[in-house]
Amino acid sequence: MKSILAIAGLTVRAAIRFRFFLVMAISLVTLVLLLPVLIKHDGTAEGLLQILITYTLGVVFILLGASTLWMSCSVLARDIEDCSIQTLVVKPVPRWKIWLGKWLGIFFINLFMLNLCGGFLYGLISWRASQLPDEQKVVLREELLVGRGVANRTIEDQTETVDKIVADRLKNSEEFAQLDQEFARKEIEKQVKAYQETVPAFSGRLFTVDMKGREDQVKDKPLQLRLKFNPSGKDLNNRYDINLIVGDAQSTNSHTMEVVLPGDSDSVISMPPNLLDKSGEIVVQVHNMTKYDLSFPEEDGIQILYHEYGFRLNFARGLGILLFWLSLLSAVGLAAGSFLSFPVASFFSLSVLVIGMSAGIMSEVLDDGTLLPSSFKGPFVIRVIVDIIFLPVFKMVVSVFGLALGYSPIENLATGRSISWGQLFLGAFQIIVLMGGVCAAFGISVFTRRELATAQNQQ
Amino acid sequence: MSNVLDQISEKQSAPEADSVSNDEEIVVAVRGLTKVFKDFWGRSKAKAVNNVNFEVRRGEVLGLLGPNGSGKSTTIKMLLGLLYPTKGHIEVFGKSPRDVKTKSKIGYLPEESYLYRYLSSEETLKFFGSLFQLENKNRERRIEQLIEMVGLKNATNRMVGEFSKGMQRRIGLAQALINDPDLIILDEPTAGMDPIGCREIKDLVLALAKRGKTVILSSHLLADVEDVCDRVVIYYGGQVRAMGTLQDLLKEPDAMQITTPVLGKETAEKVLEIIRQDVGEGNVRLDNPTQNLESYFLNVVRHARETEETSGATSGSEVAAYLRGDGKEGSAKENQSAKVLDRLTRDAKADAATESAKEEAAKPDEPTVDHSKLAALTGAAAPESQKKEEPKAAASEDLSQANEKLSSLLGGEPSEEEEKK
Repeated sequence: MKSILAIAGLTVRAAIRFRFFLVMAISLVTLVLLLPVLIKHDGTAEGLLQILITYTLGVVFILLGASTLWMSCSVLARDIEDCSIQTLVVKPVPRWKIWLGKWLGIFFINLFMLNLCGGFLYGLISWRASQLPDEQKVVLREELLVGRGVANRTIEDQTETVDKIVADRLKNSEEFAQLDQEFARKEIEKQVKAYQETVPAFSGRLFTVDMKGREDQVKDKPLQLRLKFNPSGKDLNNRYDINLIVGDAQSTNSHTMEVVLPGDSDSVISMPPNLLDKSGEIVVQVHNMTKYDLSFPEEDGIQILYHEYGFRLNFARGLGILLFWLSLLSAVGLAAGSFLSFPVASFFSLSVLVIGMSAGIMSEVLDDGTLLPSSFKGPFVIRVIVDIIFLPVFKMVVSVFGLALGYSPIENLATGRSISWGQLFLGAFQIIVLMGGVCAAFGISVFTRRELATAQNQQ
Repeated sequence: MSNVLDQISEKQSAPEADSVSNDEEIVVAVRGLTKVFKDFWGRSKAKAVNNVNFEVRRGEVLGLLGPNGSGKSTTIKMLLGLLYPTKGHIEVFGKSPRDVKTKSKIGYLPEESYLYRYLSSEETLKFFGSLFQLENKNRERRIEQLIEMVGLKNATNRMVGEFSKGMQRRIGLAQALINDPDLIILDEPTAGMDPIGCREIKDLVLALAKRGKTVILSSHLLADVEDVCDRVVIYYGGQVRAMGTLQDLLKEPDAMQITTPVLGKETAEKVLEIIRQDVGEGNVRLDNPTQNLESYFLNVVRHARETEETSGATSGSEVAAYLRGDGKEGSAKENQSAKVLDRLTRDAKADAATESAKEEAAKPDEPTVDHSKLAALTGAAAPESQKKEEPKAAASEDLSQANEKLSSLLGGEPSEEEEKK
């Protein structure tokens, strides 16, 4: 461990001596202080947080991510190119320790930078919040500067329903029997799922949100209902009338609302506390008062938000997850620098980053089952060829990067959603141990086998 | 560091570091070593080393000689595990050169100063010292001694990147010795060094060898190799073209050289006359030995240093106490008087003797006057065992003693001193 720490210290020292540390620290602090001044917000608490967290923290993360990739590619590749690695590897330190020491050094630098930016940002949020109108202060305090837990609606297992439909169709339709049964079943599953998500025009549907185990946590505390739906057609202003009854409609313990909400986007509605029924569930009745069907997605169509943590701790955990992401980037850069020259390693790492960031889109393509849009008018064979080539690649990318897709701390912080300890530890495991571990295993393996005296000194 | 003649006597009297015989303990074994550099497609680009075999024993100073691109550095890099052999086998202390524990016994000075430019000389030594798991106290002591030894005490806090090439070589040498290695590999150690530094490095190599350390030294400078190496391997085109002790390789059995103090004209004529009778007029040459440029330079610098300071590297102090292994690890100040420059130039008379005995310095097991040669010349071959057991003459032995033997050999009159005895 002593040698790993010595090498980590060397990496930090290099960052300091080459002024990288100072330049980054000044740039980031300037950015944190200037960006909220340059971009005017709309005077609401949400607007303020969007600028301070979504934009500012987002830009800080992008800057730190880029610098981390650059640094991690250079820290090993440059050592190999200027031959200083030759003096190091002849010392009694296994090469995996050298690799880990470099990674740890970058980790320490990022830890410092994130804490620095986080500290300034937190101070800025506190200061700017005090300048908001009183009603917005309440919104900020109760809805945004909190760590709100999310409870999703209960999803019932539809296997039995699907089995029954498939059996009926097979019995009654010869045409159905001739289809590819696996494909046919998937189509029926999609139809059943769509049915469960949809509130048809001028009718209602009942959804339940399971809050078992959290009764004490939400007792006497205000709740929020978060809605997101996709309409089957669009009104001129894309706003839709919905009647909501939350809680047990037969008792006084319910809350009724008539709201007009935009389609295809999140809406958060404040509700009074104590809407749980005896079984620990919250029942949400949605009455669609429009002529269009409204589809509430299974994953995030209807959610109950409740106060789970304070903002400070939530913010710290959010920064923790950002640190994991940066650590993963440094592992990618170091792995590239282990076998490529600095410029090529930088290009390679950036490519990996772009591919990783596209994993969400690839996941959607895989859900659709085809890459080309449904409006594609070309020959069918082209669609087949494109799918044969790209879908397996997308599947591989999604399986590699999919683990980390769920970790988006900036969005969580900006919307006041909580980042639990469980998420933090799971994030550490999935982002650093699993994904970072794969990069580290690859990088260390290549670095250990590599001949390190073939490069010419480029000092 | 003591002068060359002192070193010879020290080497003779130095206790062995352990009881293992030098002849038995092989530190480096290279068998059929071949290295072919290939291009991206795996096609052979260059055969840098071709079927090389040699061994290096404990306490030996081995010189690797050869023109540029002959395979010396490639061999060294394979010995260090920086390159992997295409064919053949390397053992260092009986293990693979990539074995981590083995590396703790090795010190390496690369051909260029491959150091971290953003570290100061002290930080450099601290960093490399920490990789050897040295205790802090021990590490600090060694750092102090090494910085003193390489003459960088005035540049402790300067960044290595600001150093001249020679200063970088000095700090590079210090980092190679921080672990008190048993095997020291020096690739072009005197490249970029001033003559004082070159002399210091050569003295250091001899001091290390005296302690039973093994040294592999690669150099273009033949004089350096000749001064310190017991044995040399000469490369050309990736192959070993010659290998052996300097004595074996450099011996010219059909010629003789006689060195004496200045003789009177009459005596010289007598001697020449006798020799001419045997070998003919054209085969005898008589002139004064000249002091070499290194000695002359060191004298000039010594005088200059007495009046002026320098901000660059100073002449180094004596070999670090822990490297001498003599247990006298007094403060650097206490040893200041023993600076190599002082010792090398202390005695003008000794200088002349130093240079005349330069070959003996490189071959410290030989006496100043080669008795075997004398015996061979007079027709009485000394038995092999006797040759080995001959007491190694102290380098400070009066040259007049040699002159006496020579005079008697040549049938001349005994000297005045001999007569007094």
